[in-house]
Amino acid sequence: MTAFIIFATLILGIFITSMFLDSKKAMEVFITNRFAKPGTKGYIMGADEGGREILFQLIIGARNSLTIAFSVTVLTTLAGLFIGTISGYYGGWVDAVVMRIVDFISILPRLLLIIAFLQVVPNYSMLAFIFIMSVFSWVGNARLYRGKALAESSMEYIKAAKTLGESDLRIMTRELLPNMSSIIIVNTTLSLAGNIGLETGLSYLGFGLPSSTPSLGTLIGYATNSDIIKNKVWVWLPASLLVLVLMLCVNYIGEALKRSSDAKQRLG
Amino acid sequence: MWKVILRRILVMIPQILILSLLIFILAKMMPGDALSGKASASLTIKDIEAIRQANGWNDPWYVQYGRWISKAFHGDLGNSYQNQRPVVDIIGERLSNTVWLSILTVVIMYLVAIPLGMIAGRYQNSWADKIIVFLNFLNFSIPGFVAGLLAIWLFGYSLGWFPTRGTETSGVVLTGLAYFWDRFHHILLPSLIMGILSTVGTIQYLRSGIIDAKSLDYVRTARAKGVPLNKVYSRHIFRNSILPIVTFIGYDITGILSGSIFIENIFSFPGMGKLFIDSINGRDYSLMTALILMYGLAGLFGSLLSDVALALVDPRIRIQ
Repeated sequence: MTAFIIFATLILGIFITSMFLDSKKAMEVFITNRFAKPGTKGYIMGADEGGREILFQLIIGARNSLTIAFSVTVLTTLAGLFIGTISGYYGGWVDAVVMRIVDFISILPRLLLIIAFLQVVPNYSMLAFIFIMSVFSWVGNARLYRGKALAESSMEYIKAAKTLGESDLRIMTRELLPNMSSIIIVNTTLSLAGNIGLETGLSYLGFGLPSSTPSLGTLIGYATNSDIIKNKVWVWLPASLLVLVLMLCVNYIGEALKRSSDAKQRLG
Repeated sequence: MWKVILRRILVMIPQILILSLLIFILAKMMPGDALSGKASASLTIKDIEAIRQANGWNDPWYVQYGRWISKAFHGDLGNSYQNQRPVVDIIGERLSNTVWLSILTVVIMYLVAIPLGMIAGRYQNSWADKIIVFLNFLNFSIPGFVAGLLAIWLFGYSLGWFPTRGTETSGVVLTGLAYFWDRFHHILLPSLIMGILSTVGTIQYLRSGIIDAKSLDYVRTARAKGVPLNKVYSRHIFRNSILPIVTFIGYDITGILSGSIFIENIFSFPGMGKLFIDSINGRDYSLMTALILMYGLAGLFGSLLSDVALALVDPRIRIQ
C-alpha cells in the first residue's frame, strides 16, 4: 500500500509539474553555468554540462521514460494477449507454429537488435522507439498468456460453453479473459517495471530518445567519465535513485498483487 | 540420449538460417557497403561501380545472401569499415576478455546463490529467510547499469578498493603472480556486480524447490529411516532441487552476455559488449552485424545447452 501511494504521488507529481514546465526552456543552454553546484546560481539541484537545471530535466525525463514504458507495456500486453490467447485456446497446429516463432524470437539478442534497428530508422521519433521496443518484447507475454489459456481451455466451464454453442470469439472474450484477469494484472505490472528498466538502459547507452529530449537514462548517461562520477554526483545520482525508487514501487505493487491473487502464497 | 541431442541440433539449423537471414536484411538496410572499408580517396565513381560489379554487389539479394553465408561458414565476415581489418580478428582480440568475465560471473553467481537459496528454503519464514527474500527483491528491481554505476562510484572512486577501468594497470609491466593478480583485480568488481545481479532467479527457484520438497514422500521416508536432518538437506533435498536450476545455465549465460553490454561500458572493459557499442557509435556496420550474429548464435547454443542439460538430468524427457 505504501508503495502504491509513493508511486501514485510520484506519477502525479511528475505529470502535473511537467505540464507547467516548458521543455524547450528547460533544455536551453547556459554555458557559463556549466556544472553549477546544487543551491548556487539559482539552481535547485545543480546544472549539467550545458548549464541546464537538473530538477527540470529530472521531471521531464521521468515523464518521457514513464510514457514510453507505459506505451510499450500496453502494446506488448495487447499483442501478447491476442496471440497467446488464440494459440492457447485453439491449440493444435496453430499453437505449434506460433510457439516455434515465439521460441525463436525469445532467443534473439533483444538488446542488440533493438539498438541495431534504431540505427536504420530514417525519421527517428518517440513513436518509432516505442514500436521497435515492442516488436522484440511481446514474446514473453505471449508465452505466459498462452500457458494460462491452454490450462483454462481444458476446464469444464469452457467445455460447457462450447456445448451450449457459443462462438469461439464470445468464449474467448467473455469466458476466458475474465478468468485470466489476475495473471494479466500481475504480469502487466511486472512488465511495466521491466520496460522502465529497458528504456532507461537504452537511453543510458545513448540509443534512446533524441538528445534534445531528456530521459532518466540520458541523465544517468552523463556519468561517462571519472570526474563526473566522482565530483559531480548531483548530475547522475538523483536520476539513478529515481529509477530505482520507481522500479521498486512498481515491482512491489506487482508482488503484492501476485500474493493477493494466489491463495497458496497468501497462506505462507 | 544422443537421439535427443541430434534432434535438438536439427531444430537449430532452420533457426540459424532465419537468424542469418534477419541479420543479412538488417545489414542491407544499413547505409554503406563493404566498399567503405576498402576504398581509398583516389577511386572515381566509375572505378567504384566496376569494383561493385566485380565483387557481385549488384547481384540479386539471394545470390548475395548465399555468398555471404558460405563465407561466414568459412569464418570470413568481411572487413571492418573503420579499421580495414577482418572483423573476425577484431572480435577475436576481445572475445577472451568477455569469456573470462562471464566465467567468473557464473562462478560468483553459484557461490552466492546456492547457499542463500538453501538457507532461505530450509529456514522458511525465519529472519534469515526474510532478509534473503527482501534482498532478492531489491536485487530484482535494480537495473544492471544503475547497480554498476553505484558500485563503481562507491567501491571504485569513493573507497578506492577496485580499479575503475580496463583489464590491467597501464604503464606498468608485471610478471607472474603479480600480473595475474592485477588482471583478477580489474575483472573482480564487474563480475561481482553481474554475478550478484544474476542470482535472483536461482535463489527464488532453489528456495521454492526446497520448500516444496520438504513435504514430499521421499523426504519423509528418509526422515523416518532416521537420516539426520542435515544429511536430508545436503543429500536428498539438495540434489533434487539443484537439478532443475542447473538446466538454466544456458539461459543464464545469454543473460549475462547481454548484461555485459552495460557493465563493460561502465567499466571501459575491452570486451565484446563495449565493442558493439563502439561499432555503433563509429558506424562500423560490418563489425556490428558480425557481433549480432555472434550474440544470436550464443543465444541459440545457450538454449541448446539448457535443453541437453535438462534431458541429462530428467529421464522423462529422454523417453518422450
